[in-house]
Amino acid sequence: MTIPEAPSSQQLAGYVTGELSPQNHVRVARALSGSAALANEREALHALHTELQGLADCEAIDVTGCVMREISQQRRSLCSPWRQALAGAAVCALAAGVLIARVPGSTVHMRSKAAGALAVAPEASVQMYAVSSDGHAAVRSAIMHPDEGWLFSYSNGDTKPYRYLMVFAVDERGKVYWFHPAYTSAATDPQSIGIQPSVERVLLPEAVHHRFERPQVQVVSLFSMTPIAVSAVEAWARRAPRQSLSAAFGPHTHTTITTVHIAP
Amino acid sequence: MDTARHPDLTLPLCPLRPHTEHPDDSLIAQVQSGQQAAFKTLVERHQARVYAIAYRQLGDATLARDVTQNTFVALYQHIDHYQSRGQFRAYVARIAINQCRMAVRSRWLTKRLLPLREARAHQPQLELNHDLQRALSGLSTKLREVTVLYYVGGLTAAEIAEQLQLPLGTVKRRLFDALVKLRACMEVV
Repeated sequence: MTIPEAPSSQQLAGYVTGELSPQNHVRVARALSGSAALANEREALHALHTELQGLADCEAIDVTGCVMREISQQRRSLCSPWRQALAGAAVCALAAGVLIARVPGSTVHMRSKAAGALAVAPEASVQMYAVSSDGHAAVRSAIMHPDEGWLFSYSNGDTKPYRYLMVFAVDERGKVYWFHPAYTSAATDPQSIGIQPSVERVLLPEAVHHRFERPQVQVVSLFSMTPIAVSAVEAWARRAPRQSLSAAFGPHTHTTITTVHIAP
Repeated sequence: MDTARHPDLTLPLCPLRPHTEHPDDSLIAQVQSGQQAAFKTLVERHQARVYAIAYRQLGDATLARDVTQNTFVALYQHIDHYQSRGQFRAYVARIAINQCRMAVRSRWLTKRLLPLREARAHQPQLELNHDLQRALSGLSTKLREVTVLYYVGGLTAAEIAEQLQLPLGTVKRRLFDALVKLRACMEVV
């Protein structure tokens, strides 16, 4: 940045922050010594510079307890038998994915944040958000609070996009909590919702609340080429031991699984 | 709204001080070797600065508190990737800015797709320099990020350039532009 005889406001700003090169600093200083107007502007910028430095002082907060609780829960989840069983299931599912890799459109993706990346992420995926009681949504993956709503978006931009999607949670006892499709009456047996190809995230339109009975659930998204009935998933969840989802629902499916802790 | 999650606004201001007793990098090495207690020290040491960055960037105390928590959880999840080069302050500041970006995106989604609600009844009045915060909020995100990292995060222009992966000249230009715009805004006020 070369300084002409009359420096610009930006150059004066650079001067008061001390971020100009030594040569340009000298040039601005020289210009300032010969102009009262420039000197006044420098004073105003300097006052602002000082005031901005005061922004670093903020109210005292303490999030230590919350942070340590969250990371402790994440560490515990790594060691739980439930988690280990799921990790084993993920490995099985990955193996199944390798075996069926020659089938067009078939992918298996088990996502497990705390356990590390188990597979490459394909383009079809689901993102989870926590919606607070005042309507704010935040991206969330590991911890949910009981009073928060669950909101989801999906992307579906694979070379051969999927046509249907289910999103549900299942606890260690095999109880299923439905997000999409909505399932409120035992007399009905709804199927996967239809989805569109989209590389951009598409938000599913409703934040859902559930009362979970267990402190930990697995949130599952199940992409498929044909619709799947809620009853079929519930039957799968009740089985012990459970099959992998691709084994249960066919190779033309794609699954993501995320462990979520329900805060007390 | 759960008021217990909000800070007591009458708390005294907490000036940011450098810590010299245990270098951050040595604490991180302890965390990487499994000593979780060392992470608590890191949180205690940096939470005020992270909160200040988030609050100045977002202008919303509740969001800033969430961002502060998420910043440290994200830091813990990626602690193995941190390479000790004495740049921990800058590293944490970058995570905080990334978390702010995510919070803004989430807030945008909420406003767009969920029923709009009344503005928060509980909006903190912690401002000693309300006009300046308002002027800061009027800057573009790019200018505000650089300004917040420089003045609140305490990063040098070179550190900001490295963390945001921008040319040094771009960072300086944004900083100077921000100062000029803030001055113009404060003059109007």
